[in-house]
Amino acid sequence: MNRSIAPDIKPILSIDTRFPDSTNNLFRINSEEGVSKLEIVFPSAGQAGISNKFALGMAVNLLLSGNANKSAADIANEIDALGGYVFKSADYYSSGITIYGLNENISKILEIVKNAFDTVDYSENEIEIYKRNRLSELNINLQKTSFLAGRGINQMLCGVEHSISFKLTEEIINSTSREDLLTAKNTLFQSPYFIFTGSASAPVQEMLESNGFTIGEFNETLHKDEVPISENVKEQMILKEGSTQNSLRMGCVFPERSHPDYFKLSLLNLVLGGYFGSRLMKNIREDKGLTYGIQSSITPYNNFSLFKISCEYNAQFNDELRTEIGNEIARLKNELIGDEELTVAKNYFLGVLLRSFDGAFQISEKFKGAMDSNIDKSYYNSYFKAINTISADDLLKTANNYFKENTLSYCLAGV
Amino acid sequence: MIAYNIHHLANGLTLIHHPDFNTNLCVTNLLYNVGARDENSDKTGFAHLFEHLMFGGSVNIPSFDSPLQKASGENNAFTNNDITNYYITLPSENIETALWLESDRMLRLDFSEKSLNVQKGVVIEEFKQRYLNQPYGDAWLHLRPLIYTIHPYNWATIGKDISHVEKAELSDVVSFFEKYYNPSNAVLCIAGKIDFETAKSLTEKWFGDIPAGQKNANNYPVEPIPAQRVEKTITADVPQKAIYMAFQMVDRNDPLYYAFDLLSDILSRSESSRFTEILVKQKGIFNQIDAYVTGDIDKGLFVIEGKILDAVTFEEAETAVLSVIQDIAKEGILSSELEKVKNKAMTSNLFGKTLVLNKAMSLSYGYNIGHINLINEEPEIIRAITVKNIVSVCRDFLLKNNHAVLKYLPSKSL
Repeated sequence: MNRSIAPDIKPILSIDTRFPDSTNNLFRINSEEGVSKLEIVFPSAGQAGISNKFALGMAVNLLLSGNANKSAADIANEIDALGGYVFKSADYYSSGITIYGLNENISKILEIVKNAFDTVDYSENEIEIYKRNRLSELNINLQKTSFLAGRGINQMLCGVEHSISFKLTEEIINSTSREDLLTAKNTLFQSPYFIFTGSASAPVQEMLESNGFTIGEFNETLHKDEVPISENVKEQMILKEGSTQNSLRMGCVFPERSHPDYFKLSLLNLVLGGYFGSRLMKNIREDKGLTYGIQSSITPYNNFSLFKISCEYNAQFNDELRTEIGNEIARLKNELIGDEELTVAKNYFLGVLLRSFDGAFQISEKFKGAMDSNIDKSYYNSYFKAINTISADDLLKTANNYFKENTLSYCLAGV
Repeated sequence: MIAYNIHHLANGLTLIHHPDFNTNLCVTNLLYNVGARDENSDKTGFAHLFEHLMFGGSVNIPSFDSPLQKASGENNAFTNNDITNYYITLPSENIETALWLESDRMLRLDFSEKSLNVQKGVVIEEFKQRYLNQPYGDAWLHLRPLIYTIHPYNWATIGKDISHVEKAELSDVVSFFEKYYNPSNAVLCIAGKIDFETAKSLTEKWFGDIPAGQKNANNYPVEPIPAQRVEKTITADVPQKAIYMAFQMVDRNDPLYYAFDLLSDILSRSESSRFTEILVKQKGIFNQIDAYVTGDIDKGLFVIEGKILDAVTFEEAETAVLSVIQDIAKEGILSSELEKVKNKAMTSNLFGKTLVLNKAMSLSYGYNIGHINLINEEPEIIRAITVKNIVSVCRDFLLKNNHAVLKYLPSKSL
């Protein structure tokens, strides 16, 4: 046996990227493992376009905080007794409640949740405790260079007015009132849709209807942000005395997912900094040992996306790090990516896609993301096909089109 | 019921196979019975540094990652005080790539000065990122030596001090490898879309000719029961006071282990738990407070950590925590209160089993602690915990006034 010869590998020839289909607002993904997950999603309660995201987040997080007759602890006790877990989320495009439990308990947990949702009174006491705790969290975050740099780059890329640049302050926390929460709840928490992951035989529609939810036509009206206009200032240094590391964030605005260049940009990002085998990781971590990790990523929004590079490293290497990142981007623009490197990146990419569609609970997460960003049913199938056809030449052109001189904003927090 | 098969190779390697034909993936989980507790007290952080070096190429294969990525796979590893664990997920058709890569680095690493120097730099940055460059990040660096006096849980996995990592030499690396990285000291789990015969023959093919070695004897000094309460105060640039209380608990195989674990759920993590209800909401002492167990194989820790409101003193905070525990010791708890945390444990246990990698990790871990069927028996063991057990944990372990207390005092308040 010659250990230096790799075993044959088989390429991924197809991936079942089907999402649940439905003629109404209930989507089902079948799983026979004894456990169920029910997501109640309020598509209009997203942070996009909402001026006080803090009020929205508080309205969501206190949905199960009870009323004069039944406290938050009473509600939690009932859910816990059934072995249930309930998570609240305030995402960028939607808010929601997700229930996890054994199949036989889901209906009872839903009943408790729905009742709490209908009768929550947002007591001053609950609000005060919530505010106190968020302020504590904020003060801890303000001590972290990673938090400061992340907030800084968002504002540089999107402008101070954009809802992505929302900057939580002590003043916002203090000035948010009970009225704000009631308004958020009454106006935004309407017309939910449902994603159920669990047994095919579960009477989900009956369960939802008997709890007063309406199963009917699904018309998602999605908020579309303005495409952000980046600030003219391309460099920012946020001083944080005493830091043992600096946090670097670089980035720019990229097009939306449906744009013809998006798949190419995704693959280009992967090669640059999107996985452990990326050029940035190989150069800056595995060759020079300057950092524990350096990544690049593309975060998609409804009609644009954000490209970012991030790294935490020793402050004495500021110049070296910046030069090396510049070199790696220049290489993408000046040299064709070799066959072997491109094959590795493509195969890895398809592996990520395969894993994200492997198993009902994985699919449900992928599906929620797809619903939020309103991508069409054939998106991941097109993705799969496109990745296979992208050439090194395509990537070279794409790099030259998107990484111009002075494209990237640069934000540093630390010393 | 999680089905599994076991096969022992002549060189001492144990294979655990778990079939799961609901997935298109295969996973390998390779657990080496070596962790930070096996380090010398003057060369700490070594097991973890070594884990990094395992990705730097092996005797016949210059790069570990890229052939795996080419096979559409993903991998990672972690080191803790007890074990070093390497795992791979990939399409089932390509399982052989995973076994080829894992077996070659078990056979022999490609030891190089360059790789060592680079990974020292990486680990030093990891040390800063996780432990130094964030408020309260160094808590465990202070807490461990406070409560462990002779057992090697005295230091954190990352090391006592950055200088230990800086001083590591290639000869240390080679001898560490030779001592611990051998088939007799490892357990391999192959799980997913693969049958037992295939798993067995591929394991024999790739691992069968690796020379046997010594199994780690796992002999460690037994940490005595602490004689008294100890404390340490750190003045640091943190936004508010924080307290960490660490209590010595039982080892992983002690039946009471799960009583500590359930108690931590009774105290924290839900809106209905005692700490949240009493200490956060009613009395307004903490912003946030958690209780958890460290889960170590030898005697571990039951830890309570919280951020204290400005108006409250350390003494008031500690007294309030202990009074919640005293109340349980004295009055007991309703069986319904125990029942609810058990029910939650059952749910999360079942959800955990929906992922094939989780199952492979549990099987390997169970085998390593001498309890291969733990994954199937755990629900019953949890069910068997009684109110009496919970009371006994509070009374006999947490109220002996022999815990360690770490306090963070914000420097700006001085």
